[in-house]
Order: sequence, then C-alpha cells, then structure tokens
Amino acid sequence: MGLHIQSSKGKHESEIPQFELSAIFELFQERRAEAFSLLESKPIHEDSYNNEGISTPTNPDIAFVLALDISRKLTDAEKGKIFQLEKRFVITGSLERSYENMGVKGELPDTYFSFACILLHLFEKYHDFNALNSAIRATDKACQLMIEAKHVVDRASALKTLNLEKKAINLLQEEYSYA
Amino acid sequence: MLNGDKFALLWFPSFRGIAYLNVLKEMGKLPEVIVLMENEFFQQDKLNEEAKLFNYQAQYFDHTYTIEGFAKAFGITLIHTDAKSINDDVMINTLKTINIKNWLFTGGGILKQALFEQGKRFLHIHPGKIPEYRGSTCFYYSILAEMKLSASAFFLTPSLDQGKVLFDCNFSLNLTLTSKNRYFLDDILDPWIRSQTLKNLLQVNVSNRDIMNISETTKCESKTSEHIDRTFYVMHPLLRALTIKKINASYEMNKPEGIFIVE
Repeated sequence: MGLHIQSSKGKHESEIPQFELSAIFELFQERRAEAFSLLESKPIHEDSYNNEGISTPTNPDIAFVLALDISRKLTDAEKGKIFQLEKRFVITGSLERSYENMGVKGELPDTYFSFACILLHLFEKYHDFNALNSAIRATDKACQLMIEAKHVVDRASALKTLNLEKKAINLLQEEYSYA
Repeated sequence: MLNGDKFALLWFPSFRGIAYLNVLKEMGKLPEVIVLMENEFFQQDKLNEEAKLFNYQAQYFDHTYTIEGFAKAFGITLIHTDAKSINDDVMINTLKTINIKNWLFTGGGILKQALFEQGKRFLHIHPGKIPEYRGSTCFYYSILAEMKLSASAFFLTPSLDQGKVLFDCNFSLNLTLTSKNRYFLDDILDPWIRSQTLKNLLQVNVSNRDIMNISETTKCESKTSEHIDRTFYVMHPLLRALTIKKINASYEMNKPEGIFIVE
C-alpha cells in the first residue's frame, strides 16, 4: 500500500485509493522515520552531501519558494503565489512548469522540503488545514526524492520541515486522542 | 423542482444519486425525464456487507435502490447515453434536445461553459458550508477543523462552488467508526447529508425572487480569511485517519448515535 499519492491529475473520485485506517499511522511513521534516519546518518552525510548550497534554479517559481523568508509577515501577493503553486502541485504533483522537468532526476528534495515548510507555517499561523494537507503531500514527495536520490543539499532545512510536520501532527493526535 | 416547477434528473451512477432517489421517492417529487451517464468505477454492491452489518438502510438510505427500479415504478423515461462525463459531446447534444430548464445534478464532473449556454440550471448539493468549505471532499476538513458538518444547495455556475446558496443544512455527528466502516464517510455520510439537504430544500418555499437570482454568477465573499476561501484539495490518508480519530474522540456514549440535522 503506497501512502504517497503522486497527483490527482486525471483521476476520477472513485479512483482515489481506500486505506485501512489501522495501517495509515504505522506506514506514515515508518516513512518519516526512514527520512529522519537518512538525514541523521553520518556516512550519507559525508559521502553524498555537500556544502555547496543550492544553485539558483532556472524555474523562478522554485527560486521564489527557496528564497521566501517565512520569519516575517508574508504579503498578500506572496500568499497568493504560494496558493497558486500549491494548486499546481496538487494537480500535477510537481512545482515544475513543464512535464519534462518533473521526476526524480530533474527535481530536488530541497524544493519540496522548503515548500512544505512554508505551508506548515501557514497552518501554524492561520490554522489552514488545506495548507497542512498540501504540506504533508509535499513532504511525502521530498522524502521520496531524497530516499531515491540519497541526496539533499540543505540538511538543516529538511530536518526543520520534518520536525514542524511532526509537531503539527502530534498536536492533532493529542487533541483527538481518546479520553 | 422548486415551487412545483418541472425538472429532469441528470444521472451519474453514484451513492449520492441513489440517496437522492430515496428522497425523491419518499417525497413523491418525480423528474420528467432521466438522462443517464456511465460510471465505470461505480460498484453498487461494494457496500452490501457493511450496510447489512451496520443497518445503514434503516438509518440512512437504501443503497441497493436502482435508477431502473425508480423509473419503472413511476413510469419515467430513461435516456441512456454512453457519456462518461457531463461535458461529453453526447451529453451536451442530448440536453439540447430536452426542453426542461431545471436539472438535478448527481455528479459526473465539473460543468464546462457550453452547458451553461443552453439556458438550463443545474441544482447541486455540496457537502460543505459555502463559502468556507469548497471542494468535493471538504466535509472531512470541516470535521477535522471544527467538528462541523453542513451541506449547501445551489445552482451550478461556471466558477466552482460559487453559486448563490439557496438553502443549507447543518448536521451534528455522534458516531464511532472502525475499520469495518470502511465506506461510511464517502458513501453513506456524504450522500446522506446531501440528500437530506435536498429533502429540506424541496420542502421550503423558495421565492420567485430567489429563483430569479440564483442563476447569477455570484462570487461569495468569504467571511473569514483568504486561507479558508479557497477550494479544499483531496485529503491525504493521514488526515483522513485523523478525521476519523476526531469523530471517535467526540463520541458521547449517553447520546443517540448517528448523524442529525441541527435545527
């Protein structure tokens, strides 16, 4: 059973997979534990990670995502842009503008960790569950890209996103736990 | 359909449609004609075991009811098409030949502009409060965020979930769900709240003035923030699971079980 749904593009409502409730939390935690483990493992850090930073992407949308400073109040235009990119990501499963650039080889996990981080920030600040939903999907994709490529440039940002997501989900789980 | 106007039924095989049929039968509100689309993914019998186990028929609706049975019982003409979507040419052309203004929509896609140019109106029941909750699975979000459940009736407009609301219903929930209630939320709760909203709409007297206005493309202004005033996307399985967890956590043993209309 795959937890990661690539995209909803072209899918009919009836095609959306059904999941066994009992398996969902377990599978999700397994996937995230794998990502944490990869990010925290020393050999991978030494062999595959570099400190060169992310070169300026040619896609301005991705450059926008990577450069956005969420420690300050976002402007309406910035939020509008995020929602526009969110819609593209939900429909196509990618932030890339063209299909040729979509896929493991052409995409960096860092982009999706950063994107998820912005969305998690919107959830935290505005209780925006739509943003949380998209953040989990973006983190799914980031983890998938990272695990397949065994590569991430900005380890600290990736860990920050995973921890923010964990915090959001833990809060919800505590709120909804059985009395 | 409203105030005794004639109406037709646009049939897309789904539990939503079946829930509507239950209501139309109960109320004796019969369409003049039914135009049928195809839905290759629809499996009516998938609910059999679960429905029997939890007695969904007595509490909610008879999921085994068929469009053929409904049409035969009331002598309603069925027009079969091989359309898989409301926007297929065959549908557009078929609807052109039927001189009925009001149509009850049961699914089949997001209507494209061509269908709005025929002077017809398509009544849709959306499983959420408009404008706060837009998108086809938004009821999950309203439960997860606020433990609220609503449905809104409006005529479709070219912009998604932007029609002027004719009527809405609020519901409360007191349920416990297990893995055995696999289809309950999507195939019972969602269709049922829509059908009960349809039922209530058919009972109220909507004024002519309202009817005149409802086909306008009215952008509903959000009462809250722009973060809420946007379409909710299909929910991630993890959040769906958390929604179920929230429903279960809210269950009160000393109160009646089920879904209830809040007056």
